[in-house]
Amino acid sequence: MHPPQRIAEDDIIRQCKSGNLRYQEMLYKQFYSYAMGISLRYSLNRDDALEVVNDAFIKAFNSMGNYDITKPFKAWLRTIVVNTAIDRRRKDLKFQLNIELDNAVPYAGSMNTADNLQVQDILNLMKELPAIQLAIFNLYEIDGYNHDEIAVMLNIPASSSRVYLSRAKEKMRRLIKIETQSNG
Amino acid sequence: MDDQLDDNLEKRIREVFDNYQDTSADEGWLLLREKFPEKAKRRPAFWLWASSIAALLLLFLGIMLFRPTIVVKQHLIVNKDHPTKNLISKTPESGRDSIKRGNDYIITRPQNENLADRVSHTNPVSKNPLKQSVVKQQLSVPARLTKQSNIDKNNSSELVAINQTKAQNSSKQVDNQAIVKKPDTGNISSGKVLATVNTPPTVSTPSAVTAPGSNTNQQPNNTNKPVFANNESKSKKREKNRDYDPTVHLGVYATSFFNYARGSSSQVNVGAGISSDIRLSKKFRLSTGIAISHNSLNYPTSSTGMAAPSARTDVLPQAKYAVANTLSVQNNFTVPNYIIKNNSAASLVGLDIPINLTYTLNPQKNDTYISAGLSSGTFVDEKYTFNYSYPSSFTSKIVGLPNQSTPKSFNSFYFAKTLNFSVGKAVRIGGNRVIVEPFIKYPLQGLGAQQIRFGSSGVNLKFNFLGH
Repeated sequence: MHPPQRIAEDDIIRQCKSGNLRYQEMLYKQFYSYAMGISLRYSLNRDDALEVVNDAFIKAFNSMGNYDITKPFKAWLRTIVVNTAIDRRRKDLKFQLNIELDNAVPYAGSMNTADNLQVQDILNLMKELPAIQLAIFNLYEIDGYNHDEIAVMLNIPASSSRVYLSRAKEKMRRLIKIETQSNG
Repeated sequence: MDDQLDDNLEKRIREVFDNYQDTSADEGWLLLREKFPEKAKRRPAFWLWASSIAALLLLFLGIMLFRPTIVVKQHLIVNKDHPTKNLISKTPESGRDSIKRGNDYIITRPQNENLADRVSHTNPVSKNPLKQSVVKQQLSVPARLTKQSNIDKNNSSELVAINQTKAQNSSKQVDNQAIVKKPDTGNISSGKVLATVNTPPTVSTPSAVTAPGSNTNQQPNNTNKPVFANNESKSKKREKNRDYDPTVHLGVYATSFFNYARGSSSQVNVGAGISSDIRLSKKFRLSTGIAISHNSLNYPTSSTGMAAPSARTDVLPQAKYAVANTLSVQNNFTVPNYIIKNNSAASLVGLDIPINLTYTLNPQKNDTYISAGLSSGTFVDEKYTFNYSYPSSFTSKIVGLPNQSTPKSFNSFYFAKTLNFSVGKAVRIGGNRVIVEPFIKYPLQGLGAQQIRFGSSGVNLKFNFLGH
């Protein structure tokens, strides 16, 4: 019995460039979880995250002609997903620019707590952050953008980006501490 | 310490989400296919335009073809300036225009053709009973002739018509009718003096046109006039009314019908529309129009008419996510392995554009006809409702879900996908017709977003305006 034939990523992408729907489906399913992982961090809601993923893939399929096949597809897709998620939440981001963070409580918990966080724990933590702080935290800490890039993306001063990042991290620490204390 | 925590947290977040696994890729793809490729989204707008243009063209065609028949030609004149032309005046009684050139009404037939020939050429009796009656009227009613002759008498310096009756001039050659125009004449608004003809059928030679100033006009002999002229006139008028048959019949209709499809229970529905029947020949008509109607289908459990849920690309994912939301499965976002379809229903509001060929069985005796053709159209509104349930892993019971609906509008335009057949019987009411028309529509292909093969059968109640 022959093992199922695995088609190389490059071949799939080449076929997608020619608009082959079957290969587009293969590409979608191959990178769906990856895109969903990014989208969830920004959306915090499964339905919204799925819509972001689908919109991102539609953009990707439509722009596949511009994709340089010599570069990693994941990085290209990641950029599209992040931008799509930011665009989708841009309205929320504007509304929440002036939300002030509560007084931060100094962190005194166990550092091992963070190592045990699961998907839902992280999402629960993130839900506590205002949208602007969440976006900047994700962009800077997880996705590797610098403050100047974030400033352009969110149309805010770079200094504000730094402030919001600082506040986001403070709040995360405080929440982890509370979580640790409640667990014993 | 904070930095170390931050580093650990960031590392953990990256690790968790970079290795995130989600098993709902299949459902996600099916949802994506609703939006992609984009060509599929553009189609409804295109077909909406196409159907609108088609409807407008049909309407325009109907209006353009709706022209009253040219009927009465009682007065022939010859313009002295253009003796080669026969002129025909506007008929006062009918108010209908004949062919007009400048201030004259012109017939383009050869002048030397006698009236009988002209009658046979222009008004083929065998083809049009209406015109036959008109010709009879033209030949037998000399009343206008008298009147016109009086006018000519009063203007003796002008030309005069020749108008020989059968009794007085049986041996003479008589003209069709001749008249000479006098520019200063005030008696006739068109500036022409007219003389009409009571030309006997036996006349065969071309007429002579009298010279100006020579008043040769003679009074027509009214002794041959029927005693019961009025009664005859009335009966002819009635005959004319009965035989009146315009080129286009416009009408409105209401319809009551039931839809049928494999696996569906029959549903009674209604609709309404406008119709136009374009006459092609004595017995054949082209029937078209536009109608709006509501169609509904109801499929009980395990029916085969609509696609099963597992095959539906646009319904299943929504149902699954409804299940997911209901269960609030947030940690791993799992959804039930399978969903049971209980029943489904379709509600379609359609625009129907039929093009049928109608054959009248015996146009002289009755108004019964048979009609067959094809229908095209689109659906203004489509709504498909699916009822699902799923096996609960907690209670080992089947749990019902809220109905899942997929509304769509102008999703597609279908062309010639329905075969029409109908039989109609018309009843005259006043000057119009009321038609009772049983019909059946047979689907040649699937219709709507779900490509359901459904037909309909019912009765149309039409009201046709004959326009006189």
